[in-house]
Amino acid sequence: MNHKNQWNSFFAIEQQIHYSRHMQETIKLAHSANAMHTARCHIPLRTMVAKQVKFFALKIWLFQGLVLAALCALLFQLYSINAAYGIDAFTWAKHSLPKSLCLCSVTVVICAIPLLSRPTRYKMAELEQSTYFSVRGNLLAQLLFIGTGDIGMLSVLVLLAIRLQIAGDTIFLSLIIPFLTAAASGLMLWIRTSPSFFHKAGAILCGLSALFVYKITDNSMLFLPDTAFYVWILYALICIAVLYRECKKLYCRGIFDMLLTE
Amino acid sequence: MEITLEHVSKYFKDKARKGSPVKKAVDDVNLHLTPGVWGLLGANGSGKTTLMRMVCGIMKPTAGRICYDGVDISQLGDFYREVIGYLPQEFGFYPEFTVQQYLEYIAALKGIPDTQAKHKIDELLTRLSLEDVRKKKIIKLSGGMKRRVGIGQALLNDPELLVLDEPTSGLDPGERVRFRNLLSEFAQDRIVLISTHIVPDVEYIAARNAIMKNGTILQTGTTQELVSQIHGKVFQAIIPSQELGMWESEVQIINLRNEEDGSVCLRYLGRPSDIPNAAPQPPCLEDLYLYLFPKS
Repeated sequence: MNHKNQWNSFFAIEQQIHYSRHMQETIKLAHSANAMHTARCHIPLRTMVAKQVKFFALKIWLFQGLVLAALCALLFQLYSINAAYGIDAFTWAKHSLPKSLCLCSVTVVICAIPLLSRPTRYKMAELEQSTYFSVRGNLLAQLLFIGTGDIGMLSVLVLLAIRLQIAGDTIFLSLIIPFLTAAASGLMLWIRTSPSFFHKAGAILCGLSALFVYKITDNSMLFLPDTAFYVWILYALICIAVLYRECKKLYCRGIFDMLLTE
Repeated sequence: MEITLEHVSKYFKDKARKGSPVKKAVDDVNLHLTPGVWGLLGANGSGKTTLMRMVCGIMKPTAGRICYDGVDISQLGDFYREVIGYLPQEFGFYPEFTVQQYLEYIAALKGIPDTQAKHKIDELLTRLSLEDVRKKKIIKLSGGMKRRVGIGQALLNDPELLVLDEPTSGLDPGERVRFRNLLSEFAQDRIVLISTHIVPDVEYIAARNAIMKNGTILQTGTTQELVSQIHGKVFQAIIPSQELGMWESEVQIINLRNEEDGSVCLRYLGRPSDIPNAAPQPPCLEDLYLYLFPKS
């Protein structure tokens, strides 16, 4: 039984219905419904993050590279100054370099602040928040790029310290611990405070927290070198757990009102 | 398709005042948005932008809920943002982006696949007359062109709900007409919510309007329904220019025009007996706006 006969028999009481006209209309509606459905297919999160490499990653890494170059130049300059005063490299590495590395690790964290504040500074936060991936997807991508860059910067600083024959535990206490402290405290502050407060005071607060922790590590290793080191390893694991928790909170809940209200 | 606002409120702490009292930006708003163009009118600080941010899911209401086809938008999450196009009042952009890069960036954030994004960007650049400047940095464009880029990004994902906050600010009259026509064409089977101070833009294309004052919705209705309440209150009179100062304090002037013979043509809100020989005029939405917001 062909479709036309089937159609006509179905609508037997409506003899004036024209099969071809209604079929055309139905086909047209089906096409538009299909187009709407196709239009709503979206790219997965990993593809969106990969696309952000083109827009942001290179700029972020370039900026971090410049900061790293400045830090290395500063360290070299300090070494030269000390050498000019007759302080040998070993003495300098043992006493001054750990403090310098602590300041470098804080700088690595603080240089992420202008990068993370770009959406607020250029009034893009509101628009980004209304998109499918929202601020969460965008922030995740940026934190990923910044984190990758930070690991690169820390690696170079660690290699520099090893080259200058600093002990592994000193590198851990003067570089890694302050970095994790500043990063964890900075992220916690950033999520919980308004953008204007964080830009003015957040950098100072997370920097001070790292320097404070460094002072404690210095004193603790002086008095209880064996026990203290294991305590600081535990502390580092706690900081990593805090960082993971804060990033997860950021991703799951987003930061609705925080980015907009001052 | 419909958007329903049920007892929606948004309160902020007013940090500028001692004791941080609560400031009601939006207070118990109920609205039912159906396909078509909706105009949202109100003076500065009436809560329009806050309301739009909540409709877009950017801000959470302090109380009440917003539903899309009967489902709370906080539950819909990504699915709801998939069908939104939003142009904020303070439309920003990263300074290093060209027009094309910017639209590609927003397309990526909206989850639009590459081939579809490319086709849509080409189409929008042509429709918005931005084809010649696609490789130009946005920071170097004129205000009107920047606004068109903003409108373009809002239309990228073919949204079912388009929310535009002051979309025509900075556009010249020709661009405003083109924009109105674009919106009218777009608004079939979709919800378009526009907030603007340029009342004629809304008057020509909005099927229905909502008027906001102090965070609440004063009235909703078609333009004809709303202006009917000031029928018989709008007049026009010709007065000598030396009497202008006297009448300025007596009646609420909507518009004044200096005539060639030195007299002044006044359009005002009031009674027929206010100015001798005044002729009644058919009211428009702008007259209603000034009637409801006299201080503006």
